Amino acid sequence: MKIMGKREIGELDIGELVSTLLISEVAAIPIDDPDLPLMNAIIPIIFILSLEIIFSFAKTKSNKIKKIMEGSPVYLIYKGEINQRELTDNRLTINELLSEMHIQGISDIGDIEYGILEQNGKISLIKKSDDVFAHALIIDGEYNKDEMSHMKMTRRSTDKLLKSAGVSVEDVFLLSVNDKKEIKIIKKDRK
Amino acid sequence: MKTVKIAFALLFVTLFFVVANSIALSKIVTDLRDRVKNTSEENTDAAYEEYTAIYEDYTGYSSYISLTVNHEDLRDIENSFAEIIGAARAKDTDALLTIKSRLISALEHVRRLSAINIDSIF
Repeated sequence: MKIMGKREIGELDIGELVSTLLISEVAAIPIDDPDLPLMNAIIPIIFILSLEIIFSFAKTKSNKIKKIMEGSPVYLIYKGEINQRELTDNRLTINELLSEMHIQGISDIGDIEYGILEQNGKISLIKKSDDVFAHALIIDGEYNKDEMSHMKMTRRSTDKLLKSAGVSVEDVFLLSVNDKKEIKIIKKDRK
Repeated sequence: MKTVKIAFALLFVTLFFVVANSIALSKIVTDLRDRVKNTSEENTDAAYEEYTAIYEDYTGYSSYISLTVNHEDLRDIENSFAEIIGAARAKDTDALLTIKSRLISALEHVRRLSAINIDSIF
């Protein structure tokens, strides 16, 4: 667990959770059956551990791989409108959304500007009274098509923004645009 | 980055060990099985000498084999060796034949499961 990285149990993503469960199951096999050699557990554990670290690294290098393995955050509420289709697709009921709202201290669903189902299964609720919400259009040199379509921005319009800032997409670590159209660009560190 | 390099290294070493072990184990067990198969029961004294020699060779490999092979399978093989040596010493040709086929079957089972095939994966 220490080799896999410093995360609390609650912050494990799907892959890490599955790996953790698998490793514990595999480790128990030779304990349950003394006739099975220890190598029958050690080799699969090393295999699972190595693959988990490699896939975690691959996720940091490619948003496509990250999206395939973890999915993307989903807007359950966008600019105050509840996306009922997304609720259904993610097997969430309005009761669960209201429950989460109450847990986060929000009494009126009309106060919510954005409700996001994160990749780790948690629901983030952004109130209308909060500071403006920023949308990440470019992450680690790659276009975030989902957010671009939400902001009704095309690749061309995003490239125009980059051109006006004098950067190319490969140089951008994070480009965010908030609802007031304010832009924040963070460049990648030079190696 | 260091952790990723270690992970890749561990993965390759593990894969290499699995493949190399499979090949080595398969070769050892095939050799033992073939020697058992080729031992004739007509001359029980010669059969006794041969089975004893095969068993001694098996014992030499047993520590290595036991790393990755189910101990229950190894017990089957050792029991069969004990019985076949006993049958050869007692000059019991019928028992020799019966136990020989059981021993071959036990060795073949280990050979099949140590190889990389559908049986061993599933």
